[in-house]
Amino acid sequence: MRDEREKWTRLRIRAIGVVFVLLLTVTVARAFYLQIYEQERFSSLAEKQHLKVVQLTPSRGAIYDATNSALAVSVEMDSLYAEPRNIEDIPATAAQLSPILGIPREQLEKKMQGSKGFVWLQRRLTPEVAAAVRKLEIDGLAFVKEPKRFYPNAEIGSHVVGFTGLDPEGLEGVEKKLDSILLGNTGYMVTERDALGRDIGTRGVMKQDASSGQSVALTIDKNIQYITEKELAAAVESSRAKGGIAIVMEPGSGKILAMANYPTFNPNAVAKASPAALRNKAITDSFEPGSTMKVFLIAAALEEKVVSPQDWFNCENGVYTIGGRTIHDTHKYGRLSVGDILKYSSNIGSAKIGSRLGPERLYSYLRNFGFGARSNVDLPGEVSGYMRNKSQWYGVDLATISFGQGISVSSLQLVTAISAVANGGNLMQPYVVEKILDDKGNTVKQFTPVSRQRVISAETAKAVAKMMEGVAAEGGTGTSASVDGFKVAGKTGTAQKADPVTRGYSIDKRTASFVGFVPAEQPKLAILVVVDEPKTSPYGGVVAAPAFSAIAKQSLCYLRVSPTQPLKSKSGVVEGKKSEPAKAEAIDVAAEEVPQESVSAGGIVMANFHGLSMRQALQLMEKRGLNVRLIGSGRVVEQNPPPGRAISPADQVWVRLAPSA
Amino acid sequence: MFKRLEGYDLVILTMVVALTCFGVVMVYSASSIMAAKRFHDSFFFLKRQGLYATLGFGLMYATMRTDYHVWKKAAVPILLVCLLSLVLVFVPGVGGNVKGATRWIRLPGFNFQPAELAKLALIIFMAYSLDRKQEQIRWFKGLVPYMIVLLLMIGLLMIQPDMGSSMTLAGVAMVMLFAAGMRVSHVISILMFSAPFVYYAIRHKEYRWRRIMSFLNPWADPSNTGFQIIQSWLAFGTGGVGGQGLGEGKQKLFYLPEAHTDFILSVIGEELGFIGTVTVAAMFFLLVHRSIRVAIHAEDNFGRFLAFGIAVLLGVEAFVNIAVVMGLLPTKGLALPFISYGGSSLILSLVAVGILLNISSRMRGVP
Repeated sequence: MRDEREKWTRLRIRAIGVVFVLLLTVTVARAFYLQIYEQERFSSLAEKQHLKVVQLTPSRGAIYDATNSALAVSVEMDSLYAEPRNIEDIPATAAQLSPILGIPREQLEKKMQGSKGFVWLQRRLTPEVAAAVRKLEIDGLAFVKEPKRFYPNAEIGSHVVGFTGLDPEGLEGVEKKLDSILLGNTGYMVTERDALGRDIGTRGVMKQDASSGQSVALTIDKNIQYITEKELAAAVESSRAKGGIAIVMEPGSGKILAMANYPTFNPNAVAKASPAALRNKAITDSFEPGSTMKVFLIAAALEEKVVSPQDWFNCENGVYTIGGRTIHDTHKYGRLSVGDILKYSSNIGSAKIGSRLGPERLYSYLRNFGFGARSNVDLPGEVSGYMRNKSQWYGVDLATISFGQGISVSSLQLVTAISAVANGGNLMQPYVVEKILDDKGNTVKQFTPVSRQRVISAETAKAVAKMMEGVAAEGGTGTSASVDGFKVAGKTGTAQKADPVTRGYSIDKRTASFVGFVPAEQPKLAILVVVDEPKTSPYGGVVAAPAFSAIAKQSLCYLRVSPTQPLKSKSGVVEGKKSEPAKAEAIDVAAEEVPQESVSAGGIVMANFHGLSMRQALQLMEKRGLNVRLIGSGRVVEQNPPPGRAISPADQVWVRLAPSA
Repeated sequence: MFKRLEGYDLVILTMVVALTCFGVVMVYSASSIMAAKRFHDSFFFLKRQGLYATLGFGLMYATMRTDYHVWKKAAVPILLVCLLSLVLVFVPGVGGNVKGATRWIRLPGFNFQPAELAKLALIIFMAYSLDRKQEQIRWFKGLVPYMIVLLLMIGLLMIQPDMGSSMTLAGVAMVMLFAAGMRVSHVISILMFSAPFVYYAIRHKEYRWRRIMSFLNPWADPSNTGFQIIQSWLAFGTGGVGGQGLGEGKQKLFYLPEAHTDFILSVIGEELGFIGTVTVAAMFFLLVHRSIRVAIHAEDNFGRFLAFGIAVLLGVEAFVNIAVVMGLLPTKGLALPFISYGGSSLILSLVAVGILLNISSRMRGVP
């Protein structure tokens, strides 16, 4: 009985043993299925979740001005993202992050709950905020480096430099035009990661390095740009105008030294600017130039020898009917010489010169001066302006185009054309990019001046320049453009704006301009000032010419161009006239208490520039008539000679500025 | 030294020592990075597992040298101590709570898991009782005492809650009763009687129901409930035939939950491949097979039931764990004996093997 029971028990135990054999078989079969049969599928799935492609954003190249100070730089910043799947406690994490990031807790929580894999929490954090988040040591939060564009000089040159979007691509200006050069090549890195998304570089990692972008140096000179912007703003504000444009060009090379629009914008806070303020209207907008076109009419007529400087024209006492339309002059003139037609800006005289020249020649000269076609400047968004083909010129068209009506030009075209007169007849290619530099600062490509074509002979250019001197001279329409110590060649422009409603000319909306170059005999600067819809006076000679004078005076001073003419006394007629708009701006110079020195027997005395900003330093220079070189940017930390010392002509006069801490 | 080992089943001894040592290595591989992150000490788990193994080997040797008949006298006291410890878990200040379950008794420097003791205590008690009253279990009345003890233990375990250990206990008890001569009709009726309670226990707790659902279709929610098992499959799949190499696994890097405890076989599968997985399974099978041989040839009924109970316990635990990590059974939270990290499980398993080895030294009728 007992043995029987034992046998029976042993049998049942063996049966259980057999069950374990079955279980082993199941286990091995399952292992075979998972590890061999499905190996490919599972291992590729695993690899996919282990691999992470990291975009390596190249650091965008910088933009410098002609004096090598940075107008645009890239700063590497941390962007914070979350992988909510790996966050243990989302509400607690949101509560911890909220005060650091300054984002409401509910908003963070919602962001993290909406997505499982990846969500940006805040991009481009300041280093302090990033450090505070790192300190929390929360799993599932991670950073990636992203460059942020920073414009150290804010508004200065903003329309030329342009700006970038949040993803670093250029949207305007040089940033857009030279985007591919500045951007560099985006690299990538395939890394392995753990479930928390951290890199685990255990095996070989595929990597394609990002090559950093090249830097760009502009022809824009920050100091001249600053002067131009300041004086343009003053001209627009004092005339209660809608806006304005000013360009300073080196006439011999076509280099754009300054290009300003008002109102302006801060490229560090583009979102706050109105879309209209972002446009570089100097090249994107065209306007009817008016009388400034008479310069090119006369240049063409002289070159073609249909008139000579000695010729006289009957200006019909201000009223003249041609092609069924009556033309008026502002003032009544009888007989005027060619030079006087320019000086007094007679429309009737211009129409008569135009009819001598004929439409074919006028058209082709205007084309040769660069009107009606893009200049291909290295900035985006340029317009060609509008000039009807000569086959479509009817009736009065020849006459009106002769004095700048029925044609539209961009500011850049106008200043480039006047540069051709200034440099002896060559139409230069305008440009803003001086050179391209690699990331070590070596020059990769240097741009040199390019002459597009010869338009007029040197003799004609000289003769036209001579006539243009009359405009700024006593009795001319642009006397307030004169600069003490220099001869100014220029031309005023006052044009009625087209009214889109009546399809005729607006009665009260004008474009007032002044274009010219200085010194007239050996031009260093060609300058255009356009004031859009001034309210105080419609005349370019009143509204734009003073700004021309102020820009010219300070820029020549900054460039240390020696006066070619005897200086008039401070209380002279010219000075009094000229300083009207300049004084409209409050002068907040800190060193106001320095005794009012002046030209004494011992010469000019150096002022105290210490601690002044560049703006204040320039204002003080202007006020004291000092010709001082400004080095660097920021605030003045050093100067030579010391304050109170008389300046002799042999002295190196400079102030050094450094960014304040 | 080897003389002292004469007469013991050296296959069992070799398998157990090999599995334990291999376990220490795998615990290190699976836990080092996690330990470095969480405790700033990559050897955190290695050091502890090494200590438990040393302690366990010592106790195994001691029980191996102890005549297994002492357990006959100790059976009831051990059962009482065990039930007491299962109650102590719930005493505040004594019990420890981890992830919503109260499974530990805090001892100085060591957290003791009474569930592990319960398994051994139940086996010893049943062997003791079956040795005396094997005849009676052919009638339902004779089954009642075992049912009472079993339900008492399961009841206490389900409060923790620890469904995995409860199921293991029930399974081992049923298999032992079956071997002792329990009628098949009784087995079936008990299973049918308990089925509604098991269903209620699962349906009542949301997480258990989700586990069942995700077991049936893990891809329905791969990043949440299906995450564990899918990550385990990916580990096995990545391993292929030969594995990625010891220490080279990626899935343990926070993809696999509990990589060093419940899912340690997934790490083995990834790092040592199909060959590694099958070797481990085969070693467990050999261990169980040799233990059953000890049961068959044990010198008396007490030794037979004791050896058989231990064999079934180790076999069931190993199989359930392997089946869970391979997705053949729903997630349970059961350790792989000798290999998974955990002091209570390792030490009590080694003690059980020590008892088994002592029985093996007194076998008779071995062919």
